[in-house]
Amino acid sequence: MADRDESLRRRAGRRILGAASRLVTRGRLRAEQGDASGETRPAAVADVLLMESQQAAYEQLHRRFTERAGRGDGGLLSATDALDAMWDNIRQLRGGAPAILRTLSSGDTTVQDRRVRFYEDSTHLLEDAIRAVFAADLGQLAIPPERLAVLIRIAIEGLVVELAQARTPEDVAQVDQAYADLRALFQHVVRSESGAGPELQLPLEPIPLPW
Amino acid sequence: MRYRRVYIQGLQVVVPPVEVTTRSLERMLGPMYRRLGLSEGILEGLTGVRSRRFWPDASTSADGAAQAARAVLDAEGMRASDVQVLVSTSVSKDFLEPPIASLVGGELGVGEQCANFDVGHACLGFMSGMLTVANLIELGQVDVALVVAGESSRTVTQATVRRLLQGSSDFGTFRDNLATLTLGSMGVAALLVSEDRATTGHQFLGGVSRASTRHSRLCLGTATEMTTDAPTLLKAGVDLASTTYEALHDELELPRGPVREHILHQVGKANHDALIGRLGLPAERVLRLYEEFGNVGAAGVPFTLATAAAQGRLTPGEEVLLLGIGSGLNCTMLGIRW
Repeated sequence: MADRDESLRRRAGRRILGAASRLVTRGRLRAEQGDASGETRPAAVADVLLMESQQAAYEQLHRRFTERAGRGDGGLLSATDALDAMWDNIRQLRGGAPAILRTLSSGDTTVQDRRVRFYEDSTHLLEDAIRAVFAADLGQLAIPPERLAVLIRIAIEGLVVELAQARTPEDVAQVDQAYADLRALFQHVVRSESGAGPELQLPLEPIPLPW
Repeated sequence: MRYRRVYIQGLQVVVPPVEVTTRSLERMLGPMYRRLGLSEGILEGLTGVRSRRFWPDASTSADGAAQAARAVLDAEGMRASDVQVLVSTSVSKDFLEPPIASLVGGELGVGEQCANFDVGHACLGFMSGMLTVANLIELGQVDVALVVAGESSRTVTQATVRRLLQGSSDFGTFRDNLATLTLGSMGVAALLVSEDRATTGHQFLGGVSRASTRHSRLCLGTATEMTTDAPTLLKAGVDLASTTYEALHDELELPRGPVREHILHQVGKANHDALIGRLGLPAERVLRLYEEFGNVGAAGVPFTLATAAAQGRLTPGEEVLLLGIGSGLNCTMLGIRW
C-alpha cells in the first residue's frame, strides 16, 4: 500500500509539473502579447505554480528523511537513499527542467518573492531532514546541517540547470554521472570524522534479486 | 499433471571445489568500491549471499553435469547403457550446439538407444526436465531417465567484475549488475525410473506450472551479462507463486497448509523472505542455501532437495513440495512423496 501511495504521489507530482510547465510556456506567450497590449502578466501565476511543484520534491525528501528517522532507521544510508529518490523524481520531471530554469531567472516581482521563499523553505526542509536523519551523530558531520542543506540545494539546482540544457542521451548520461559523483562526494564528506570513514553503514536492507 | 508410476531413484550433487567469498569479490572490486564510497560487506548485506562455488578454470558446465550423472549412476548401481533418455537442463551453455545432453552422454558412454536433448527453462529447467521424463515414464515409453544440470557462473562473474572496474561504472552500474555477483556453480543429476525399477519409494506425484509471459523481458541474460528489473520481477514472481501454490494443492489433492518440508529455488534473502511470507511457510520448514552457495540456476531446487535429504529433513511417506520460479516469467511446483 505504501508503494502504491508513493507511486501515486510521484505520478501526481509529474502531472503537476507537466501542467505547470505547459502553463509557463503558454503564460509567457500570452504575457509577451499582453505586454504589447498593456494587459497584466499571467506568466507569474504559472511560474509560482511551477515552483510549488518543485518544492514538492523537497517536501518528499523531507518526508522520507523524517519517516526513516522516526523508524530509528537513520544515518548515511537512509540519507543517500532519500537523496536518490529525490534525484529520481527530478530526473523523471526532466521535461519541466527548462521551465524551472526560466522561472528561477524570471524578473517578475511576484516570482522573485516566491523564489526567495522557495529557497528559504527548501533549505529549511533539508536542514530539518538532515537533523532528523543524523540525530544520533550530528557531532560527526563534517559540515553543519544548515550549511549542508544549502550545499545540497545549490547542487540540486545546478543539476536541474544541466538537465535543462541536456539535448542528447549522452548529455543526460553526463548529468547522471555528475549526480553519482556528487553522491559519492556526499558520502565521503558527510561522515569524515567517524571511525568507519565515509562508507555506507551496515546493516542494510536486503534487495530483490532476479529469480 | 499426476503420476502413478514415476519414482525418483537417486539424486546426486557435485559441489565445485573453488570457494569464492563475497568479501573476496568485493576486494577484486576495490577500486570501484573506493571510487563510489561503498563499504566492504554491502554486497552480502544487500543479497544475503556470503559465498559461492566455481569450477576450476578449465571445467565446463557439461563436466559438472557429467560428474553428477556418473555419481548418481554409481550410487544406484546402474550403468550408462541403462539410461534410455538423458535431459540436460542447465542455464549455462558451453556451446550453442551440440546439446549439453550429448556432451554428458558422450562422457558417460550412454548407448545408441538413449534419446538426449536439452530443456531450456531458465532456473526451472531441472523441474521441467523432471516433468518431461516423468511423462515418458508414465506413458510407458521409457523406464530409466537421467536429468542433469551443470551450472557454471565463472565467466559471467568475471566479465561483470571487469565491467564494474571500468572507470565509467557508477552506482547505477553496480546496482544493475549486483544480481550477477550472486551466481554460483553446481552439478546435479537425478535418476527417475518407472515403478517396476524403483527401490527407494520416493514417488513423484506430479506438479503444476503457471506462466506470466507479459513479464518475459524483466530478466535478460547472456553469457557475459544479466540485466534485470528485479523489484518488479520479485513482486510478479511472488504473485505467480501464490496462484501456482493453490493450483498444486488442488492438483495433488493435498490438504491446505504447509507440509513438513518445502524446497525453494535459492536466490537471496529478500526473495526467500517474500516467498515464504506470501505462501505462509514456516521458516524452519524451508532450507536456506543461497547464503553459502548463491543462486545456482536450474541446479538450485535439486541441490536443496538433496541437501534436505542428506540432513535427514525428509520423512519417508510424507510429502515434500518443490517450489520454483524462473525468468519468463514461469512458476513450477512439484510434489514428491518421500
